[in-house]
Amino acid sequence: MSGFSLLQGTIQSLTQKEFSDHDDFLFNLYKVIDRACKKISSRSKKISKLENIEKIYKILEKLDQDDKKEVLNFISKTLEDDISIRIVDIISENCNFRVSHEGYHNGRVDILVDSWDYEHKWLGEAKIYNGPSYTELGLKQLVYDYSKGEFNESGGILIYVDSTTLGILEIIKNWERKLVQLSENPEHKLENIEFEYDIKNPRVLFTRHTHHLSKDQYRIRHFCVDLRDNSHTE
Amino acid sequence: MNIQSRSYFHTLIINTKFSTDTDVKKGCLELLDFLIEQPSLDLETSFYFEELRKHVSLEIEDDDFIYSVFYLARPEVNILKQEFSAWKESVHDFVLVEDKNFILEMLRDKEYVNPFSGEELSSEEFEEQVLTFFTPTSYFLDKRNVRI
Repeated sequence: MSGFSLLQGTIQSLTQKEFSDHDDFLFNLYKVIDRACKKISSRSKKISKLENIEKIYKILEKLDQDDKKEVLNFISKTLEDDISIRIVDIISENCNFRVSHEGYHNGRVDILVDSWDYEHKWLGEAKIYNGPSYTELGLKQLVYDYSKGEFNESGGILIYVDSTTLGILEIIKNWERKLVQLSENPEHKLENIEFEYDIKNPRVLFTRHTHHLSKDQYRIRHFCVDLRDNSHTE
Repeated sequence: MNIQSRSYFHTLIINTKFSTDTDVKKGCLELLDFLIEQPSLDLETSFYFEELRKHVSLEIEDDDFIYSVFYLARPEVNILKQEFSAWKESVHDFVLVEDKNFILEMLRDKEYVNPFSGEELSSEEFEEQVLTFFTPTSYFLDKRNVRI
C-alpha cells in the first residue's frame, strides 16, 4: 500500500470538507496545531523578531524597576504576537480552517479559528511562560472576556516556553495544580472543572468546566510550544 | 537590464503569503515547474501523489508536499482538481467516481463502501479500492503559457 492513500492523515484532513461534529473539528484542528508547534519548535531560528533578546535583557538591567517592567511586558507581548502569527500562518495552509490573529470574538483573540463553514469555533489565548500566575492572565482573558460558551465553541491555552529550565511535563503539572486551586474559588468561573489526559501525549492537558454564561460544558486544551534552543540547558 | 518574465501562475504563487516555517510555497513552485514544462497535458491527464512526488525535491517533507498539492487545488488557485476513482469489478479496472460528495461523506462519517458495488469495506479495503488523483483544470491549461 502506498504512503499516499486517501486515508493517510494529511490527505484525508485536506480532502475532508465538512466536519461530522465538534469532536471531529477539534481532532483535525489539533493535528494542524501540533504540526505548527512542531514546525516552529524544530526551526533553529525560533524567535524571528527578537534574535537579539539576550542583549535586550542586559540593557534591561540598567533600567529602574518601572521601566524594566514596561519593557519586559512589551517584549512578552511582541514575542507572543510573533509566535501566534506564525502558528496562524501554518494553520491557514489548511483550507478547512479560517484562522486569524487578533480576530474579534468579544475582544481580540490571539488565535481565532473557524471551520470553513463557520459551524465550529476555537479560541486560543497565548502567554509566554513566566510561571502559572502569568498563564492565569491568559486563562482569564479566554474564560471571562472572549468565550461565550456557544454551541460548537471551545478554547485553548498556549504556553510559549522560551526561557526556563523546567521540563514541559513539569510546566503542565504546575499549571494543572494552579487550575485546581483556581477552581476552588467560584469567582474564577471554572465551575465543575474536570481534567482529561491524552495517554499518548502527557504534555497536553484537557479540561471541561461549566461555562458561566451558557452553562454548557466548555472544553479547553492546555499545551506548550517549546521555543528553547540549547543555550537554555546551560 | 535583463528582466526575465515568469509564468502567470508562478507570479501568483510568488506573490502569495505562505508560512515561513513550512516549505509549502517551495513545493508549489516545484510542482508548477513540472506542470508548466509537461509537454502533453490535457483534461484527461491524471496525476497520483506518487507521480507528483518525483518532481518535488526530497528535502521538502511529505507533509509539506501534500499541502502544496492541495494548495494548487484550491478553488481560488484553480490549477489542479481533485478526483476519485474506485475499483469496478465488472470492468476489472478503476473508474472515475462522478459523485465526489459520496466519497466526501464516507470520509466524514468513516463508513466505507465500494461506490459501484455498495459492498461494505474496512478502512484497509477502502484504501485499496478508492484512490484519489489530480487533473489539470481547463483554467490552468488555458493560461499556462501566459507570462508576465
